Amino acid sequence: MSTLNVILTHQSRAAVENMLTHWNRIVPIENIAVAYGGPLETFESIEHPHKAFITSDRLRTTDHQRERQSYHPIFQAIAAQKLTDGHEHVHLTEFDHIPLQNNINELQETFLQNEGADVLGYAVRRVDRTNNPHYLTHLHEARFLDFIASISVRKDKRAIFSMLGFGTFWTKKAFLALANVDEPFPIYLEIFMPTVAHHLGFRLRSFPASSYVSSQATFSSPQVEKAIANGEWFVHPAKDQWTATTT
Amino acid sequence: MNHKLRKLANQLVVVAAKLIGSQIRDHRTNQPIGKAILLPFRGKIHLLGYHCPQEHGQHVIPEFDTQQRATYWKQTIVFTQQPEPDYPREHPQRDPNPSE
Repeated sequence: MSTLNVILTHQSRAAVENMLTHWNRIVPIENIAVAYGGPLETFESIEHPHKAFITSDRLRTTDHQRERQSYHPIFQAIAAQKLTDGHEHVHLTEFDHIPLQNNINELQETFLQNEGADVLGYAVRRVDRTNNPHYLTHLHEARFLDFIASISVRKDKRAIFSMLGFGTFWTKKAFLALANVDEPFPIYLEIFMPTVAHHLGFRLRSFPASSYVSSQATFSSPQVEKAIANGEWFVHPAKDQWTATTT
Repeated sequence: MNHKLRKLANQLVVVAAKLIGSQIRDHRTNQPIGKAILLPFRGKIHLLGYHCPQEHGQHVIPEFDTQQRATYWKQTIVFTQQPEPDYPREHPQRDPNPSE
């Protein structure tokens, strides 16, 4: 089995190189793809064979929740460039989600297999009928449920799900199926990814909450050293990891 | 400035809800599932400053409680939550062939 790690970043060339050096200690270089959302000149200067430039305004939002930021352009770019060829799984993550274990993809693949799942994410929740603000604002538009019903193979076409955007893990089949669905109007990524996957017939499960440490601490900190020793999988959101240090 | 004031007011409501809000319990499990100020106003019930102790939050579903004995003068709104998603894989059904 092999997993393609798609890492979303907008950082400088030096920061991206630091990030790739770290990831390449853990997984082979052919298992890493960069999805770049920063300036075009920086993208062109990044010397990595597997990379995609994401131009869409749907990714480049300021108020991510209210502008309903989307990762769908990443799915489409990765699928269009056939970067998933030769892989069975896709790990879609962000630059500040730092892997702490050397066998990280193996841990994810095993967990996916044990759960019999197609999609894994953090804080996967069913949110219909609840006070979840993203659900409520989407429900305000009648076309939202119409869209879900139009793609659904499920009996209950009103089931809506939410999960966090970073660190999602997919079978290739589920990833490409989602890439193949058009986003007909803006739908926030935390709602779009799990809800569409569920209604296409795929099985969603949550990673254990303990599989990442919620912290901005970087590698040199005692907190991260302790997390590594405890077998934690990731630290997030370590936004200064690649700019503050040379790995 | 207006935006900053509004943000500050929102934060104050959240802090007030943590301090003086009602403890909300899941009606099915009796587990505490957060705190909020419940405010009836103009024929609606507003949930202010809902805060859930669990990381990333689990949201609540309001519903009327069942009644063992029919009482005409009082009904109660309670809260519960969606269960953890655990749905099997489901494959698309074959399109029915109109000629069959």
